[in-house]
This record gives sequence, C-alpha cells and structure tokens, in this order.
Amino acid sequence: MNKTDLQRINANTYEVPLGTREFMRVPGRLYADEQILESALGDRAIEQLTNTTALPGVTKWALAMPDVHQGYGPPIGGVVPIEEANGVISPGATGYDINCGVRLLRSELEVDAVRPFLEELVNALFRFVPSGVGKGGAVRLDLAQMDGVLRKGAAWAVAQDFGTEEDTAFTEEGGSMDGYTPEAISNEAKRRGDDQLGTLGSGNHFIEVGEVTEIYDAATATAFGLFPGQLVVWIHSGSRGLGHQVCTDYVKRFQQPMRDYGIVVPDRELVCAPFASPEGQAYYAAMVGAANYAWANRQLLAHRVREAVLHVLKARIGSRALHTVYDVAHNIVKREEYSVDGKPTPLIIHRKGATRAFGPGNPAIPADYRDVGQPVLVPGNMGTASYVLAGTAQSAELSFSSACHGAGRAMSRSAAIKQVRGQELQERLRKQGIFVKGESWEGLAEEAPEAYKDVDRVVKVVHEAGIARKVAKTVPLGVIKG
Amino acid sequence: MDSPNSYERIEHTADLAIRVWGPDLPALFINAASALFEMMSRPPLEDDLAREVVVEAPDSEALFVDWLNHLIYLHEVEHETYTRFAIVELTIDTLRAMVYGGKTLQKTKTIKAATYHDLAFHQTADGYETVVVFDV
Repeated sequence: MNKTDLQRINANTYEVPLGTREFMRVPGRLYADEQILESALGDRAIEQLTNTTALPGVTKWALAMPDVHQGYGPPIGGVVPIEEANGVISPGATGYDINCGVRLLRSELEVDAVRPFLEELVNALFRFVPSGVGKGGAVRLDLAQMDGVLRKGAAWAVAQDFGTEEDTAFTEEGGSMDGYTPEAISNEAKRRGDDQLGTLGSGNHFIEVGEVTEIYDAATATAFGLFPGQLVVWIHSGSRGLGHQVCTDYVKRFQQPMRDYGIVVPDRELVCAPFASPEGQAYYAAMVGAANYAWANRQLLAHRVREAVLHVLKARIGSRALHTVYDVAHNIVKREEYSVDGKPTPLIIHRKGATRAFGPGNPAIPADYRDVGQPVLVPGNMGTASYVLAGTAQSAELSFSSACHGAGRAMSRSAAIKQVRGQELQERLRKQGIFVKGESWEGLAEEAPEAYKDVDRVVKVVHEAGIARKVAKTVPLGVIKG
Repeated sequence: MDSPNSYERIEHTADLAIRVWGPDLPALFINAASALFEMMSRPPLEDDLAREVVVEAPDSEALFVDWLNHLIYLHEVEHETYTRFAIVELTIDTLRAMVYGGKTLQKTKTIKAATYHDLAFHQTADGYETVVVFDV
C-alpha cells in the first residue's frame, strides 16, 4: 500500500477508497496528518486497516486513529463498527489483552510540595505493585472468587475493600459489564489468571507519577478535578494471562466455524463468527468476563498505588484520597447504538488500541462529567507527556465515538534495543527529573521515548479532526515499568 | 537447544516476529518451540522434567500456532521452561509431542500469545519456513 492508494479528504483525514482491494465492503478511514500518514505507510498498518474492511457487517468505514501502527490482524489504533443484526464479532480484532486500559488518579497535592520525595515514591510503587515478567500477585483467587471477579469486575474489588464506590462510578461501564457466563471461559484461562490479579504485567504496561502542566479547557479540567501543578498517577494494565488465554481459545475455536459459516477474511487472525451465532455469543460472554477481570485488576493496582503514596507522603497527604478521574478500556468490543442511514442501529464496535470518546449528554458518562464529555485518557511515553481529552458530540458521526489510545509506536522493540541502553536511558531521564525503574534494562529500552510517535502531534490531529478535544497535559516525574 | 540458525527475528513495530525454518514439518515445529523459549526464559538448571503435549486443530498451520500457544500456557501456569522437543506424531490435524525441561529459573520476556497473522508454511529448497508474530 502506498500514498497514491489513499484519498485525502481534508487536512486530518485520509481514506482507502472502496475497491482498492477486492474484498473491501466499506472504505478504510485514517485520521492523520501528512507526517503520521507517512509513518503509517512505513509499516503494514494501512494494509491491516484495509483488511478489517472485509469483516461481514462492517458499516460506513473501518477506522484508524492517528496513533496507528502495525499490529496483527487489525492495526493498533483500529476501530471496526459492525452491524449487530447481520454482522460478526472477531476475537482477533479485539486482541489478546482484553480491556487493556488506563486509569488516571488525581491527588489534591501540588507536586512542588512533595518534589523531594518523588524518588522515594517511585521506589515505594516498585515495592508495593507486583509488576514484572511472570510475577504473581498478592491476591490468589479460588474458583468462587474468580467467578465474582469475572461477573462483577471492579465492584468485586471494591466489595473486598480495595477501593470505594466513587472509583466504580468514575470507571467506564461502572467497572463491570453484563453478560458473562461461567462456561464461556475455559479452566485454562481461569488458571492463567488465578495468581495475577493486582499485577501490572510487562511490555508497555506502567504506572506513572505525573504533574499537570497545561490546561487547555478550564471548565472541563475543573469538572475532571484537574488543576495546574497537581500530582496525578497514571495506571496502564489489562486482563493479564486470563485475557490472553480467552483470546487464544476463541481465535482457535472460531477457525472451523468461520469456514462452516462461509466467511472468508484476508488474514486468519481476523477470524470471526456471526454475533448472533452460538460461537459469537460465547465469545462475547467470555470477552465480558475478561474485561471485568481487567477492571478488577486496575482497581487493585489503584489500591496498591494508594498504599504506596500513603506510605511515603502520609505526613503531607493525611487522609486525603487519590480520586479516580476515570478509567477507560482501549481493547474491547462494545454494543453501542449509532445512526446508520438515518436509522438508530445497534452496532458491535471493536476498538483495538482505541478509546471510547462519548460526547456531552451521553447517559453512559458519570453525571459530574455529562455536560463536558467523557474523559479520554491518552498516555504518551515515559519521557515526554500524556493528555487528558474529552469526547465531542461530533465524534459519534466522525469515528463511532472513538479516539486515540496513546502516542503509538514508531520503532520496533528490536530497533529500540539496538539504539538505546536501559541504564543510559534511566540516567538521561533522571537528568530531566524523571525517575524510572523497570524490571529489566531491555524492557526499559524497548519503551524508550524515541520508540514512540510524537504524542503532541497525535493529539493535535485528534483535536483538529474533532473526535476529542484537549483538556489537560501532564508530564512524567516517575515511572515504573513491568 | 537446537541450532540458533533455525530462526531469526524480523522487524515488527509493536510485537515480536520471527522467521523460522526447518528441513521438514516436525523440525519446523521444534525450531519454533526452541525459539519461543529462547525469547521467554533463560535455560533451566535441570532438564529432567518430561511432559506429553497433544494438540488438535483443523489444519497443520493452525496446529503450529496451537502448539506454540499450548507451550506458552504451560510455561505460564506450570512455571516450566522446555529445552528439548520430540515430535511423536504429526498429522494434518493432530500433534503429539514430548517436551523436556525444568522449572523456570528466570523469565526474560512475557509473550501473551502466538497469532495467526500472516501465517503460511512455505516450501523452500531446504524444507519449510514460516513467519510467526507473537503478541508481547
């Protein structure tokens, strides 16, 4: 795929026209400026976006957000809207880390009041939060507890005193979705998740202590409880081994039924089944359970973060809590209703590395935010910045209420390891006033700032395209990596 | 371990991709499993542990992915690392193998899954090769 295959719609929008490949059912749409487009053409992201336009029932466009890059199956940053009545659900298009997502916690503290303690805080986070490769967590689940987690998600964790109802009130879906059925998730998946609840995981998962440095929309920032100079904490994690196994199970289980249903897709990883079929319904039920596990996991991680912050800053923070600003899922399938050809139509929205971005007035948004839109949490990288955005009314029309989920990688992990040494990166960031601690030097190098796209540029495209709007920017002060 | 010249890492923006080859299909399966464990873990101190692995799938490429995913599963829940592999039976839809290794000493990378992305066996002058993309 090259640039001449794409049609420029406006400064921030490009399309792969219908007919570019024989299998396409709708155009592919990419929100990008010219530089991001060039970057996306540098790997196989646009080809992967085009492949997702082949899924039965896909409507209007398959989409890619400006943080797009090559994945497996769909691109990372992909959104695939599919009609529920005659369309499919695809485990591969949802990804292995079901409900990988982000939670943002806000303190009532100004960073300046605690700056001398930041390194100690990072060390405490590293101790309090089980993080790295293959480490189990403090909470080991028996079968009854596992059932509670898979049914109730974050609410299960809150019922065990790992948080408050304020946390679930400010979590997408209230931290749990309906529709899980126990037989939908294999014993293997449950076993893979039974000692990982409350663990960060490795790869790009992290906890970051940050400072709010810019406010772009004072009224919305105030509604979200954000102010300049404020200490905040970002948490990025997902459904751990349980979610990975659920996806593995269903990608396998769907291979034969897909043939039986006569469905052909351009990439086997896009394996799918009709949403209404027994296979489709079983995957949806399993996906819901895994999503609930992820919300329980981020709830436990938030609890550990609070313990670490209290441990280091008790004299300064007293009993004042860290409040949840919001918690978003960015690898998930959602049932949402949109206008298609002028008619309200139930859709299956696959978001793979994309964040829901409901605009003002949507009843799914917490009442405190309903006038301003849903918080859209966009972590950047450990050396530059992250953003809080808000959903817009027009995002429903433009992107099925979706926006970016991060900066997006620009460089492979092996290239990052060749260019960056973990120890040097840690030292370089320390000179910038950012304390970074990771389980391995290689893991740190893989996540170096230069491995990511320019988050300012990605967010600028999102803002100018109108799919979400800028509210606040934070910069990192300390990061722990799994 | 098998010869390190049985696979190579190839560029992938976000995840981990390898090209793996072997003189025949059983060797391809074994070389991919060796590559997987070289990436995930340091060799165990002992290799006196043996396990039978049986996988069934609709075709041999699906069998290949399922084999790798089953090994990822065992590595994660049993905390075991395998260094030797013997294919007992390989048909179009069934794989029976013995895997040998020991308790995991140190994990080096978490691999979430082997994917079906770009999956195709290619016959070459020297046997078979394929690309496999792992989610990390």
